[in-house]
Amino acid sequence: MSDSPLALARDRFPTGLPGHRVPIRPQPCTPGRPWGMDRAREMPAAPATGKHGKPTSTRQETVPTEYTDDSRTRRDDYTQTVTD
Amino acid sequence: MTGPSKSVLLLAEPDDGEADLVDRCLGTRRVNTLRFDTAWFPVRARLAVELGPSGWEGTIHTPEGPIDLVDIEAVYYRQPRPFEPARGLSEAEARFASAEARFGLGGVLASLDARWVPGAPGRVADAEYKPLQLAIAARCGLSVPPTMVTNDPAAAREFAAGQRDGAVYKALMHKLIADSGEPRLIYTSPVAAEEIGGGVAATAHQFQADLAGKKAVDARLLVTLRGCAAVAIRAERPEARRDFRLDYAALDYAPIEVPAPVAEGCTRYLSALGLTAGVFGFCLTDRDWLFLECGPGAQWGWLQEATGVAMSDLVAEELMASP
Repeated sequence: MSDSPLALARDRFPTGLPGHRVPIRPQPCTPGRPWGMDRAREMPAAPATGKHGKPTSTRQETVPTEYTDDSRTRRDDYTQTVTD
Repeated sequence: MTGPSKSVLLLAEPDDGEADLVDRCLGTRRVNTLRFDTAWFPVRARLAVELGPSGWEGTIHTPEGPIDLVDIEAVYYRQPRPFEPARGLSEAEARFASAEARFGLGGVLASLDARWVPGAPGRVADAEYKPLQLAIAARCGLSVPPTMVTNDPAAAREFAAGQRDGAVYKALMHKLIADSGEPRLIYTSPVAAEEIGGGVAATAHQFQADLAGKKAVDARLLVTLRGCAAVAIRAERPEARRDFRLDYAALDYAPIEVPAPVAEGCTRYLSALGLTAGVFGFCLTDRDWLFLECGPGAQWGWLQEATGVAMSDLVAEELMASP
């Protein structure tokens, strides 16, 4: 399996679009932070129309994961937000 | 469709609105449909297929019933969810399970001798690259706005300063930012040359001429190889004229005719990328239709609901078309 970053998008199936499903997890900014990330802003609520979501409506999911705490692996979960 | 036993596979979430509309359309045409969400695999779905002389043969057992691969004549690929390995696996185990699911079940589905709408997963994935979209649109005769992709802050400032009506920043793919602890979205946002910081060097950034001042309306088109349907989206607030997603509550929608050269350009675009359908975004000025993007699997259901424009018919007809 190729690890080429250019090939990865081509053969993904179906892992979703990059950056459309992200963990909500506070992390400190670094000096090398990409400029574009700070162009993000809060999302105004999108009113629902029947059962068809708007392209920027989002939902949040809980994802099980593991983390290391004092050399011990523990089970946990985190929240991620998803958009179309 | 060539026989009564043939079916259309709807690869989508169980409650996906677009898939439901297409399902309803196919139902009125007496076409059998099967629904499968890849998130069902491997926990809620069971796969057992063997390689035969003309491909994989066998059945996927799903919560909604069995799917016999030989019955599938067309597939509507509408953003099914990622595979979901069993809870309780370690990260390494889950990563292994996901990759094997992707290349196992994904490979079986990709091998189907079926008509894919809007396209096979690989084609759809390719078509998500914004720079590719813009280049193909230009080659297909569609008008495109002045655009730069760069990680050179000086080049970005020079580009922004050179745009008579100003410039905007648009993310190329990564829409959501949540490392502050709150989900935030990158909208099309105006940017002055002096605002552009050195952080542009950290990765590729897309800058484009600001079209808000000359924009009459946005238009969203569902185009297939057999037709197109379009809806004009009118926003009043200045920032929503730049990005209508900022003011869903106050948008007006209306059906709109697509000029033949634009429709023909869109069809050429689909052919160039090996797609059978796409959802196009255009900015309409008093002189031109400017191509902004094309998301093969993007949403259109809310536009049909708001205007009655029969977009699901187009998808259904494309699924039922002879090869």
